[in-house]
Amino acid sequence: MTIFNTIMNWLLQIDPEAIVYMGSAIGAGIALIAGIGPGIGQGYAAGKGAEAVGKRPDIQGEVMKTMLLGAAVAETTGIYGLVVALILMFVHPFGV
Amino acid sequence: MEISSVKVLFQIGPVMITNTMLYTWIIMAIILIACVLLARKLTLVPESKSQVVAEMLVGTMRNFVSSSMSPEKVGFAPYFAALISFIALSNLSGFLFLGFVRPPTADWATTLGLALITFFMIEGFGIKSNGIKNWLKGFVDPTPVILPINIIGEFATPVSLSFRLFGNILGGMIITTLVYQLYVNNVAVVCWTLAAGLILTALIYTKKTSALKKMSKGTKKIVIFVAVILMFPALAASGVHFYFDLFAGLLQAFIFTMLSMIFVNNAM
Repeated sequence: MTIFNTIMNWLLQIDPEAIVYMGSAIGAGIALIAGIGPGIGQGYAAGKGAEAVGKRPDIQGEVMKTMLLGAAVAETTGIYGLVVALILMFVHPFGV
Repeated sequence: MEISSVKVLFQIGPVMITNTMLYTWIIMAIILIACVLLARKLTLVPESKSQVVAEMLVGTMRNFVSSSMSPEKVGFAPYFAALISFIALSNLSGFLFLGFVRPPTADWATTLGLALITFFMIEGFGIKSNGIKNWLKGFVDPTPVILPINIIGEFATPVSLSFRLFGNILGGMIITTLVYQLYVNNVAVVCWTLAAGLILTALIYTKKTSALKKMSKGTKKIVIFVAVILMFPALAASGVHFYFDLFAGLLQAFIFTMLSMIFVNNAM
């Protein structure tokens, strides 16, 4: 596989520190795909909240509080992905 | 300007004092002084404004605790009041102190400490109200096979509590710093903001604002459009601060306290 050989030769000629940074940057980008989860979940929660307000408009305050509470708890896994990406970008745990 | 990080300021023996700890002490001092000032000269029937404010705060917190947990657990109210006021003030400290303070909750150490207090409260009050045997039985409930999963689930509580608060505040701090990097060393933005300030000052001082009422609707729309474009740098920075610091900061303080209350209530 000459393509494989050429890629490997090219990779071996680059400074290893740069490869570590490249991997960290790509990993940080992939980690933030976790942002899809809270987007869908919180959107669904907001939709259900709007439906509840539509059924009984007089309890809009409490419905909003419950919806915000649920949305902030659902945000947690997206924050996990953000923390991983921030650690990869700014703390450089691998190598230099 | 770089994103501010946690730095060790000095050492007292084996203990390292970081800038987070210093700002934590400042926030504690502010809350302490506020409480002392509010609680002076208390009378049975409130006569001073500070006593009315103090009674309102205490009453709101007691209602919150007794409605989230059950009414006989209102004794938890002082701890949760301290918790929510500390977390709210330290989340807002990023912009309240004009950028000189790095929020203490943007350091995982602070949030992990607070979450571990909640964790030990959960286990401690669970053992105290149900007894050690029932507490241990709770781990093998419903089958002994899921004992490791239950243990990991117990440890997931403080980890997720601390990471939720830490990630929100650190992410907001980083995004605010990145937005401010657009303004630093940028001549165009400085001229833009100066022009907006000068035009607004000229308008106010030459009393041209009375002319606004005589304009037609079309001209008014054009004036408002031009005003928004002139104010755009200030609006962008304040919009970022409003969403990340005010809204997310206060919401996360409320969420942390409410989740702690719910977990302690479920364990008892």
